[in-house]
Amino acid sequence: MTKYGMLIDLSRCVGCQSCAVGCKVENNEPLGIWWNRVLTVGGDEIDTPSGDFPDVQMHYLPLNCQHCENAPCVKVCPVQATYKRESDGLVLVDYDRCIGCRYCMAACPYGVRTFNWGTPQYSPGVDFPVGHQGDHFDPDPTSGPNRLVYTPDRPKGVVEKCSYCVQRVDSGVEPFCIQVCPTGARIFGDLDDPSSIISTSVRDGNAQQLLPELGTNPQQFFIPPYIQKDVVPITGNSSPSNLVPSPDIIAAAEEVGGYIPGFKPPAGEIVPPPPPPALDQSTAGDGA
Amino acid sequence: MSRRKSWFQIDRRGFLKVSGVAGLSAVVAYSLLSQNGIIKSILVPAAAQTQPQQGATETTYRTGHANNCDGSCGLEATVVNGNIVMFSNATFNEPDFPPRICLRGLSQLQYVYHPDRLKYPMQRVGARGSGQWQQITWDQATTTIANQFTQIASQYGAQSIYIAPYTGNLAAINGLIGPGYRFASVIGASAGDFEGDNEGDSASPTGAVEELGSFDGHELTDLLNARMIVLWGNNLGETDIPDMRFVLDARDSGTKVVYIDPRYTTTSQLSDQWLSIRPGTDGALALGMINAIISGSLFNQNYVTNYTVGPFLVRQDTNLFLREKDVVPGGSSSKYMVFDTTSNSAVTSDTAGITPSLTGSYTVAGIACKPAFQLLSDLVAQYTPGAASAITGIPASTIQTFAEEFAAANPAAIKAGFGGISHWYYGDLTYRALITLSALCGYIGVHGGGVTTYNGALLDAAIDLPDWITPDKKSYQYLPPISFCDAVLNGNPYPVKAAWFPCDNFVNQQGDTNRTISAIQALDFMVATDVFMTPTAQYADIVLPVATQYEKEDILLGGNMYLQYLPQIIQPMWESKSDLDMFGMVAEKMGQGSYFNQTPDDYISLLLSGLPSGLTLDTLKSQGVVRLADEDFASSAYQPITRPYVPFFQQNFPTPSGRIEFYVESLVPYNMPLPIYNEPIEASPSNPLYQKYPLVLITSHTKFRTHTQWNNLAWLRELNPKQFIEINPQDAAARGINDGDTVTVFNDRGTIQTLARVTSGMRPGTVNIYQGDWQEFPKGTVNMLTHQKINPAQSVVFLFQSNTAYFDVLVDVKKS
Repeated sequence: MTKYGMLIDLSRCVGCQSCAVGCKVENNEPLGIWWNRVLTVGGDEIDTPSGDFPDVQMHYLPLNCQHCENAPCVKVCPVQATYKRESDGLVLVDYDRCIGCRYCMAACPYGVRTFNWGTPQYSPGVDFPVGHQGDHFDPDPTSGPNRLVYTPDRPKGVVEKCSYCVQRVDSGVEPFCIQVCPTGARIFGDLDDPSSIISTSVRDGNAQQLLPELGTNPQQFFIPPYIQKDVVPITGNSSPSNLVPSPDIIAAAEEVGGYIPGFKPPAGEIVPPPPPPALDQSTAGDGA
Repeated sequence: MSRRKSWFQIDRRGFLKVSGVAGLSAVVAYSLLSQNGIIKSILVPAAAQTQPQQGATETTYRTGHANNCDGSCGLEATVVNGNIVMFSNATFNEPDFPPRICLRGLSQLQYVYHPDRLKYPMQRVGARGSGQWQQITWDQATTTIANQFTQIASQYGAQSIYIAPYTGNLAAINGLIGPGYRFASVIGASAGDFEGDNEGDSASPTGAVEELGSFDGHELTDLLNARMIVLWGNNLGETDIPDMRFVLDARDSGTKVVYIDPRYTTTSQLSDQWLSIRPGTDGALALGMINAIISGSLFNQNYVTNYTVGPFLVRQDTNLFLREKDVVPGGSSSKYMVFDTTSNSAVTSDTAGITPSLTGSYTVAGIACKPAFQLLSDLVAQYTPGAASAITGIPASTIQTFAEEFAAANPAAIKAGFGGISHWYYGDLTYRALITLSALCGYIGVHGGGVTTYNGALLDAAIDLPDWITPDKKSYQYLPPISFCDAVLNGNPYPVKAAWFPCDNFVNQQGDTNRTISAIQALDFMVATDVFMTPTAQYADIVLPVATQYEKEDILLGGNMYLQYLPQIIQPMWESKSDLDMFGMVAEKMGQGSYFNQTPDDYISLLLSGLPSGLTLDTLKSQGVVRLADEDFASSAYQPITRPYVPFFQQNFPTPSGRIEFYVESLVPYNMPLPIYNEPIEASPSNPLYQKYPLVLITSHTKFRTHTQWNNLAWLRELNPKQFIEINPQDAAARGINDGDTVTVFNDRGTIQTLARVTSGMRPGTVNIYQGDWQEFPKGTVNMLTHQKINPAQSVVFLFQSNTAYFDVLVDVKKS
């Protein structure tokens, strides 16, 4: 089976809100609706730390649907509008079936569900849907027929939330927040595949779930915030010639056709500095 | 530093309470839109996947983001039914340079389709600045401009017409090096220069040109080769956000990241060490480190001897370098004398087999001299780590350890912020101190080293700029933007009577807004070209609507090592036109139409015409983005190019001596040949004004806009709804200010109102207001508080003369 999950490396999160804004574009979220929020864990306001200057601390917590294995929202939905897809574990909302009772919003311990109280308003001047175009129906036959899991024409009085970009995932494309994260802090993949990047990263990165004590067992994982290594002094003396990447690393980068976080890009041939420039005798003289 | 408390100890309520999106439940006060006009598809069988909209065609275009954040991201625009429906990140086609974008690039369609866009040319009908306009035609507008310019040129000379720099668009033929310069050149007008989001932050470029001969930075992927990265006054995680990726990659491979900033920011939380420094004292920190490095003999003696002016003897009488002609009749004026410890005599520096001395005091031909390195040592003797600590507020032991680690890192890279370092009166001295620190350790021109603020300068050098902006050797008269008000108000250095501000929110961004408005009001005639009715456009006589970068063709160079093609993706909205078209219409009516009668393709081809690799526009169009070939970087001083790009890799420096000049002769008249430390011109406790205005005001860059751009985009306003001033709880309590209070910020130049954000991330004694907001002009315009004090030493370089000391400002705050 496939079980899609997401891993956010908080030690690389700059809190830039690009995932949140990207989510708004791809999913044509109405004004005031954010499926993906970047919370500041620290002071009382966005981008502020806790503590007393200069002993202060802060980190960011991007928060979208946790796609729980044991999802409270699914249990409380009286009409099975919210359901967990068998084929990959995505928690989805059927916009045609939701009756707007908002039990799911009360049940969700993570506060990631939003509700269109009125007729949705979109970006001023933008009188067409942005992002993904057209409706998307769940193709998994076990989900039941006519499951409208994405529509740019958002109905009033319906709950909406992060779907891991189901309309992209069903075409084999990763969620948009993964694509646009400028620091590469987000990973998406199959948790059931022990060799997938997300599975190995969850294991190696001491990744954790939010509110594990509730037993919701989210498919969303977090690598803890960065811990400064300034206690480790820099000693010894390296030489720039040690910094040429190994051929293996370059080959690996070329193989995947892209950038590998943490790899040292080709440094070119490191040549020892040439002797100091000789002055041009022909131009030597007064008036220079 | 203590370990953090367990990060996930956040309770359920916390997800609702902790701040994220401000005002989530608030009603958003934007006009109601018609619901999108799509007819919902009829329900289809479950096996079906996404249903494309009936009859819709989807096309994607590769473009780049030409805004002035220096990130130069590659963008992919998706067009459906003639509308741009999405911007995402595009590939650079190279394995070592990842796709990049941030929240600003993602929001671009709100800019293109914004209902507040200027839609047609307008002429002022009320008093200047009164906001009363009349729609006119393009023909009427350009005829009026041509007639006014012609009349003013005949009365006062053409240089009395000032064409401002395009600070908001870094593209070539419609932007930063665009048709405004070409127009100014052919009519003989004045023009500002290339720098300046903020009408000038050129102290860093000036310092670099003085000491290294050019202002050029490492390709930022080269940070992965560093063993220590110093983010010096550079909140990279909030400004050039995608470049923070390289810092984090380096950090996660073991590189130590040190971040120097008065404020605690997102970059602090991701760095290994955050040093909160008293604002404006960065030069003293660098000199303290140099002191520790010299006194510990941690510097690279070979490098200092061979590649810097360290061994060059400096005359104690004239303070100039001792040259061969000074000691030998008929000697050369371009040969520098050093003291050779092998022969125990003064010889020219190019003599073979010598061992030049870096220290000591010598008398040569009756002239008392010291090596420049000795003079540097003498200078820094007073800046022991303890003394530097007293100035900067950083503990002496921290400075000592930092210096030792910096020297041991081999190499260490300094990534310096444009604003953090430049926005000070003596910013050029600070930048020179950073270069000197790096040079002493032998880190200039090596992988993983250097002092980098801007990357991609070589791209500008590669293209045929002169034939484009100064055709037929006709040239504009250079007037630094910071001198504009003086020129208008005082006729200094000459009178300016008319101005055209294309893509330049001068009124909002120049220091001392009241003075700026006085100058604007004193103009005989003013034109503004913009996308919105900005504070600058409000004061114009003629306002011209410009097409956004997505509605006109261009190329983007600089910011990184890639040349990007910017196609015209959609037709110009409403009656807007490209800059090239509108300057061409005016030029034609002034009898200079022949300089503007070619197509955008022709002018782009002209820019590319000199490239040795033979790159053509067709190739660029088909690939969308290219990394220029090594041979395209024409100057032999740069050959061969290494990758990642490292400036000065050949250890050739286009300085008078060909070496790194931490001793600059042209600054002797200013008593600044060495990178001395001076207290900030205003923001210093030694300034008597400090008794009256005890808070230093810095005006940082926010992630929610690029200077003044994107300030009115709905999504970014939801995240960042109101302007605010950051103030430490101590400073707030002393003034009875609570978080969220409306406060007045004031000094002798002006008064503004904003909201208090009381945060322990703010250094006591310092307050911060993010620059660039213009939604609350003039009530909240932060430049009401700043000034236009000009550092005369800036004028020793040919360009880069305009520096506004935005951070060098004292204020006080009170509850409104």
